[in-house]
Amino acid sequence: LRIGVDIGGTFTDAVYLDEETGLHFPSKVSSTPEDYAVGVLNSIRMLLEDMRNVTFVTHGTTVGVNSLLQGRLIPMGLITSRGFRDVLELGRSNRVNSYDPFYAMPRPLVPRYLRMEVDERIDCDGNVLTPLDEVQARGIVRALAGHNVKGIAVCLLNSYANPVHENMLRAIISEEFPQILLSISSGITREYREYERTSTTVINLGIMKDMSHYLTSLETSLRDLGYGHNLFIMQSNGGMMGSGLAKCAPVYTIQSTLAGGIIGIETLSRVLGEPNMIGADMGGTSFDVELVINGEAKTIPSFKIQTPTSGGDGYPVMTPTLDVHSIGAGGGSVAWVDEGGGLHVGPQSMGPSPGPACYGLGGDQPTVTDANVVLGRLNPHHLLGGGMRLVPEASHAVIGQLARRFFMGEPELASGILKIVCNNMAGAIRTMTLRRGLDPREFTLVAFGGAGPLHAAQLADNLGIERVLVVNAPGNFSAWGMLMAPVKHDFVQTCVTPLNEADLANLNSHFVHLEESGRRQLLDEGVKEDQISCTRVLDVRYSGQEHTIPIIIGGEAVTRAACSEIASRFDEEHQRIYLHSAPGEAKQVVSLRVTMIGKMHKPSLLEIEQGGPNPPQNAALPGRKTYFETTGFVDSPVYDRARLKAGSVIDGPAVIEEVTSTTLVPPNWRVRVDRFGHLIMTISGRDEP
Amino acid sequence: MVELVTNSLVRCCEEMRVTVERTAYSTIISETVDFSCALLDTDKNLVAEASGIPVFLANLSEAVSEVDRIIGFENLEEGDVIFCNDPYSGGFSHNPDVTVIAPVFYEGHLVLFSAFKGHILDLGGIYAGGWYNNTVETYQEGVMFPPVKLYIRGEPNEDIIRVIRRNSRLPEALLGDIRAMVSAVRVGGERAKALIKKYGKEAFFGCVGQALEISEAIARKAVEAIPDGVYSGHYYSDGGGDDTKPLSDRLMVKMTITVDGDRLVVDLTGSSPQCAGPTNCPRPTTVSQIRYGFKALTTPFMPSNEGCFRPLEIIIPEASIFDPLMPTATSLLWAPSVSLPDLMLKLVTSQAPDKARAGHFGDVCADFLYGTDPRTGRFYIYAEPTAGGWGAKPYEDGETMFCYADGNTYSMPVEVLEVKYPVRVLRYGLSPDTGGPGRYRGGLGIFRDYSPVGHTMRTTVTFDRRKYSPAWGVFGGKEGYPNKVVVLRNDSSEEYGKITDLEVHSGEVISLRGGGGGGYGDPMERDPRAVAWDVLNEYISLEAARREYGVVLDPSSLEVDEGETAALRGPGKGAEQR
Repeated sequence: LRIGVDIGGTFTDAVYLDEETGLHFPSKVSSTPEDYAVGVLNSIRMLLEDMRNVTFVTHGTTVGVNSLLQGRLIPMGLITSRGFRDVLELGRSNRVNSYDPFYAMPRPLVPRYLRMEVDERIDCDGNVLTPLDEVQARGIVRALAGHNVKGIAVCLLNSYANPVHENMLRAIISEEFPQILLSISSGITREYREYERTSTTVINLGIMKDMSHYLTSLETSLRDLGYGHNLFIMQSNGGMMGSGLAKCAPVYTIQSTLAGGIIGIETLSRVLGEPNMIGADMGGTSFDVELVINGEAKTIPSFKIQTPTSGGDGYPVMTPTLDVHSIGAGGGSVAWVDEGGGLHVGPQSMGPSPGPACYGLGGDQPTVTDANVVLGRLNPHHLLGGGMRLVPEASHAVIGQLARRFFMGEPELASGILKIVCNNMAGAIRTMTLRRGLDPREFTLVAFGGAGPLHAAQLADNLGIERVLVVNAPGNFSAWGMLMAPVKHDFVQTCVTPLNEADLANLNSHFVHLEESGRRQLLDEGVKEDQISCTRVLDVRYSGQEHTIPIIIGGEAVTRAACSEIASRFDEEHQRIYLHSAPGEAKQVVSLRVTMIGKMHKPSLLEIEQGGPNPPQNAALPGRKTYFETTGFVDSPVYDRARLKAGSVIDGPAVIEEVTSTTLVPPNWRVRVDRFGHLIMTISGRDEP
Repeated sequence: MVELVTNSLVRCCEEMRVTVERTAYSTIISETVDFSCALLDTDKNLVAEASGIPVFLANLSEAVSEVDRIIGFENLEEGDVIFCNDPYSGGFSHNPDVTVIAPVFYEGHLVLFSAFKGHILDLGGIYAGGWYNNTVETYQEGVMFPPVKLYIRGEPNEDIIRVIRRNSRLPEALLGDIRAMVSAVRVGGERAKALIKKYGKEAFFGCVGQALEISEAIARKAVEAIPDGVYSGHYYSDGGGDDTKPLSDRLMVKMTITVDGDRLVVDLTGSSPQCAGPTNCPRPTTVSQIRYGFKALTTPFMPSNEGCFRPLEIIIPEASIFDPLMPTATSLLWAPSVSLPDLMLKLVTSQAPDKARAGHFGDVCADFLYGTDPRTGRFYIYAEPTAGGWGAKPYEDGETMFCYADGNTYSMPVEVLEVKYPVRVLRYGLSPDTGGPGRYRGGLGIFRDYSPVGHTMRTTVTFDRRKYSPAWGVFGGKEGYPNKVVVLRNDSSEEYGKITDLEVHSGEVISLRGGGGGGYGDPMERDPRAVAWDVLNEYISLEAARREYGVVLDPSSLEVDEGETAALRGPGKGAEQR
């Protein structure tokens, strides 16, 4: 038995999978921001009380990113090389909005007086120019402790080339103050660019205490339920890591909850043979866009995270991450009016409590969910499979109030709210696709998240997309996706060298070394030797260029012949991406990257029972009036998704309900159920045979 | 639909930007992002842009006009790429800023121009690099190309390329950068064509026209919000020539702004006549600077197009430092002009304390380092701007960033720099006591110290606003500390604002010091706890706390001595106030 749990801003979702039968069961509970572990345990207890037969739990958590977003970082000290304590404050001194005369830079996460410089210097080749002054270092550590810091981060210049001084500092700190938390830059990444590395090291330290407390208490509770194995945590890169490592390297989990969805889509893409998919994950709070192109999700080597103190630009995080774009748009997003009388929706959300007005928990703001209730799109009685009763009168009250301000009818205003939120979401998808020269119309829109299937057709209409796939158990798809993830560790070593005369012995020994540490980590986490695989990548550029292109290479030792083959593949890639290349020019290796993967057994998708085009009689639920802009309120049949059979065809207008989600089929759309139970929505008349 | 087209066009330009950024050779393009890309229509209207440096904004429309004048639109063909850098014909800034323009054809008709302007390293000239402090004629500043065809019908024009190659000290890097630029304008053109195809030519250009009108309407509304009146002020530029041999001194930058309903007129009459030395700014770049300042005042968060600038009128006296005549040298065009936007902000907010901001350090503070890398035996040139302090805001202290005109420029990571160049960075940080005192303090200036490794390096530095007009304070705030460069020899030190081709030997240090920003409001009104925090963090010294802010602190605990502070600050401004 395997369990995946995903925390969202509003709900916590779990999926339990029986590996033998392939059956899976979802559960959904409210998130518990005061202690997320409570929600996680609630979601598991809804599935089973006894975890003794569970062999595997994986978890996407927001705990790390939330302590950053909410500014709950521990008091920290930072030790830098002499002359460089301001790297963290100066950043790159750029302004992402060049025209803003009042631009604000990211505020440093460690104040200047707690950033201390130590005498030492290593050059870019890793040679020690000035040995570390250990006596001074001890003094600095004591001074920081005297300021009551709870953790110390260390980022020395050129430590990517030689971490010897960082390691000495680590030893000194542990010796002086064993209880103090530690974050050492070379332990997180061996890539050059001191500001980005320092920022990553500091963020890692800042969120370490929250993460480690949370994981420890969660582990204890899971043990109390009888669980006897490792707890795995999702990382930003789409792989899992053991909770032990997550406690000391929590910065790898910043995008933890975004990974499940995209891995789920990757899996569907492979199984269904559909290479290009856009994931549209709409939950209670946020809308996340994921892209799968040619069956693969894209990973980027670093990203920036926006927080209330990060000014216009965001804090850089130098860890590989799946490329996901998020905006504040969900069922709980609030509709509000600006000074000029313009209507907006989000990005702020009512969260799990009090939530939308219809929850009856005291929410007094009109939300997207309330608009859906007013339009008859959501079942006014049950949410979460009857576990949560709604108060439709409350939705009418808040929407009605807003409608009167605009001299509009309730349904017109509610419909306007949904149009705005769909437009916001379409914008996010355009940003992800058009920015790369991709046409969204060439993709299938994959709808998931509790609110995704409710808005998918309207969103697709907005983008000109003609094919939508609604996954099984959409509200729990991310949690399901996590069950498909491998254990995965990324390593990097910057090592700038000409490609045609590279010191191959050095290059190969770096690879072997990185792979060895990765292998050890995987074995520690319980991965079997025969499940381990690895990918080697060289970041290559023309000598003199600044930016690089990753070139995947084989696992065998790099030879001279291999180098010239790599060179020509680089030329081809450069030509493909940038429409020009210079095959005669010298090339340079900048960094080596290794991805170590521990494969997990992936259960196959279950097929559902085949039936005719007419939905089974017993799938029909009581119909209701549903509002569409083109028709006004019309009678719409309602179906129970669980009773539909493969081959069932439903023409809009219709509503398909299931435990964690509701799919809306507008008048011009048609749904066909595929053999795995996915709802394939197409614009009527353009359906495939 | 209009919004859709506008956003898609901005994305076209973004793609051009990414293409260049990712494939360029010079760090000044890939890391410091010293360039702009834009799409223009056949009436030379700016349709969309994406910028590292928005001050190239107006140059591109002027460049397109020059292409028409010199080559003629009727002589352009699909696949042509135009190249120019002549400060008086098509380039309109200094020689190292090159412009690449691709005409975009749709169904056989010329419909758009995809244009790129960026800073390259070395196109000839008396010393390596591209700009100098001591030139007196544009002929000394490098080879000049008026608009010429770099590509003809898709094929490289080898004649021109041979001339370019022959005139650069770094031909590989230069041609690499030019390849990246050509690729960018082609990408921009292709993407724009796809958009026209998607929406249909008529609908597309209908949207473009509407977008300009919408922008114009919003900009006019923003001008209307500025109280009518005549606002006037000035600052000084240090002038041209090396400090060791000045060519001109104390140049007047005089500005009068007239706001009349939805019109705003910027008049530079009264500014110095064109001067001996290279501190002269060609008219199109002056216009760009003013447009930049105008946009920051009116529509900072909207995509740029020609419509944004229609409420703006500009008057520039001929043969002045802001409209020099051929063959006046223009190498340091930025020195008198980069603070025009800052001055505009100061003038129009002179009666609006909640919209004001103090002045910033006021110069690009550019340096380049060059020599022969002892590790490879190859010649290298490294160019960069230097960050400095920005003015305090009505609600918080100033930032430390690159110069206003530099836009979204990134500093070069020390670790990247040390791999690429035979130079060691000894320290990089904030300079205490450089921010102008005020209720809100100006942003601190910086120091960045270099030492050559195993060779003698040469350097040219241009740090204007060292002698005159440090960053101004507003509403009672004080000036910031000025820009300067210090060279530390074994037994002596030298201080410069401008020096060309100076030797720095192994073991010696060149210390670049970007100045501080101006303060906002009376420093005696600064919260004493904020002053104590500044002392704790060594943003200011204990002495400065007392001298500038009238705040007396216990030297060890940094507790505010309320009594002495009240006595120093005088009635009504004491520590008890907050």
